[in-house]
Amino acid sequence: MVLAVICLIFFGLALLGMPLVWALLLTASATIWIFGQSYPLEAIFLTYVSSVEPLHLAAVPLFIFTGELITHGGVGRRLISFARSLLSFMPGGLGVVSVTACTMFGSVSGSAVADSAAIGSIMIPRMAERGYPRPFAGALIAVGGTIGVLMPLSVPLLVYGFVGNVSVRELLVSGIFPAFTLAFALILLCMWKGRSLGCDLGGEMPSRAEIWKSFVAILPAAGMPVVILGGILSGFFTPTEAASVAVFYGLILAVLVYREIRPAQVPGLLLSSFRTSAVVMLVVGATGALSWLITAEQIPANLAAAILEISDNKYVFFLLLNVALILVGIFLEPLPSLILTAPLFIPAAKAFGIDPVHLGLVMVFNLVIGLYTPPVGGTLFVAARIARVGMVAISRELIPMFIIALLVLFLVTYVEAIPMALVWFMRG
Amino acid sequence: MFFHRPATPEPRWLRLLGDAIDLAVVVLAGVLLLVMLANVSARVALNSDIAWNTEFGEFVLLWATFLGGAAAARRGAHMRITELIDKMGPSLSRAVEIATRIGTAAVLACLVWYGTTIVQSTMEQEMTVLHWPIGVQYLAMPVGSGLALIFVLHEIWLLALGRPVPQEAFTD
Repeated sequence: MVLAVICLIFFGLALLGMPLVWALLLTASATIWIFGQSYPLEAIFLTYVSSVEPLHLAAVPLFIFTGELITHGGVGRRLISFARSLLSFMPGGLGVVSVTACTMFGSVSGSAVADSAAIGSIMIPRMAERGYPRPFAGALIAVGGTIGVLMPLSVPLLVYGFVGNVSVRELLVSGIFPAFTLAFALILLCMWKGRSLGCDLGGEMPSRAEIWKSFVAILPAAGMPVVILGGILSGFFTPTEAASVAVFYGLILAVLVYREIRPAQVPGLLLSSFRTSAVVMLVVGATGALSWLITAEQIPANLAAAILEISDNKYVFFLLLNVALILVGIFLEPLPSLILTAPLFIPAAKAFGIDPVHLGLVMVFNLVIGLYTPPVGGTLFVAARIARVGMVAISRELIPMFIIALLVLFLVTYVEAIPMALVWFMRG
Repeated sequence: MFFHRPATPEPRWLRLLGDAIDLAVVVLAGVLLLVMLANVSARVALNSDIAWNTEFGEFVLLWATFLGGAAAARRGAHMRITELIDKMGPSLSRAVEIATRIGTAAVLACLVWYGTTIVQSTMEQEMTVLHWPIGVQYLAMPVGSGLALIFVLHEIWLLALGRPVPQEAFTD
């Protein structure tokens, strides 16, 4: 009953356009008032402020700032040049280059929308010139841009780790194989498309000098995920320390090495990053406040019991979870969806013996599908705008890619080894 | 310069207030970056953490977050769902926009009120290393919320006059 009222108030306020952070706090306060519960309102607001207090949360603004530096620092162009020199000989070469560049760029930017904008603005016009239909090029970038969110430095995985108190190291590693699986499937689609359209049959081998030149250009940027991820995995840095190292690496790269950002631009990027981060962190805090009420009312335990009554099979739980999250992802962006649903699903998943790292990866994979599911989606909008195509045209081209993404989601959900093999290896 | 200039010009006092908040966020962000890097350097080079790093870092992070929240409120940049109100007619959508902002203002007023109570009750407690009152850290919540409240009240005023309000899309 309490959960139903919470959902009703929250979704009512959110759909009427109230910012999520205030809608969450108003929902918590209104629920206490409606049910005449004896919880003091100070407890709700103290939980709100103390949920954004821990220093490890500094990783969120620091990784967002790193992403801004990478996005504006000319890394995308150099990555495309490198991927092109290596892969454009393949059938569907330009599509293959787009997917590969999206995957590599995501591993340093951590943002799907930035990924789609940076790679799409260069690759969509090139693909259109080569004869690919613009809606196909746009759809490929809309989906390809989300691969990076599964790669290490992923902001949604980081936020899940903090919200659910799950190892960030393990979460970052768990995304690698699923990202590669999705990228590989999209590359196969591009090869088939290039051949069937007859516009991009490949075969042009670049010279060794061209490959070497593009490799040298990308080397400084390629060092970043190596240093950061290597530092986290070896236990040399905590994720928060790695984030601060990433910022300085990104600053040196963008300002001194590539010289694409002037020092005078840095404060503006810093302000924009910390503003975005504040928006995310305040929603994390407000979710913490609502979660406090939800936990005090023993709702997660009751929810787990209710699901267990339907079935005690964890695969059925995963099926229900996936269906629910796809529906949520159609209407909400991944980060708020994740922050809102993780506190409910983690205790329920534990009751089924599901590893919270596996659950987090499945949740993030699932919710990023919403980024290119019509009618609303961050990468969908960006790609459609760059490709200058309408929603109907791009949606038609999205259908095979959506099916591929669902198949990979199915594999990631039911073949636990795909996301967990590296995690098990790390755990020994 | 990085200062924000909305399409609908703000009154001078509000613009100066917004600029001061933006400047404070940039300074706090810069300090946080330096503190974090200093601690990593100390741990790698000297194999020891800076004693005050965690307390000072949390203090700066909390203030940067709540002031950043006020800066986001000034730009209409908090995460929200606009698909439904975008489909409403102009008069209905204006009424809904005003109503949700009145609700927001009520929540922010509560945050200022209860935040002040929390600050008062924690002023006597001290941080372990810095020996600063914990209340000074929690003061970020009523101050940040109070500043956000000013921008939300300004938006209600603009909506009542039928003028456009700032709306910056959130991208993650």
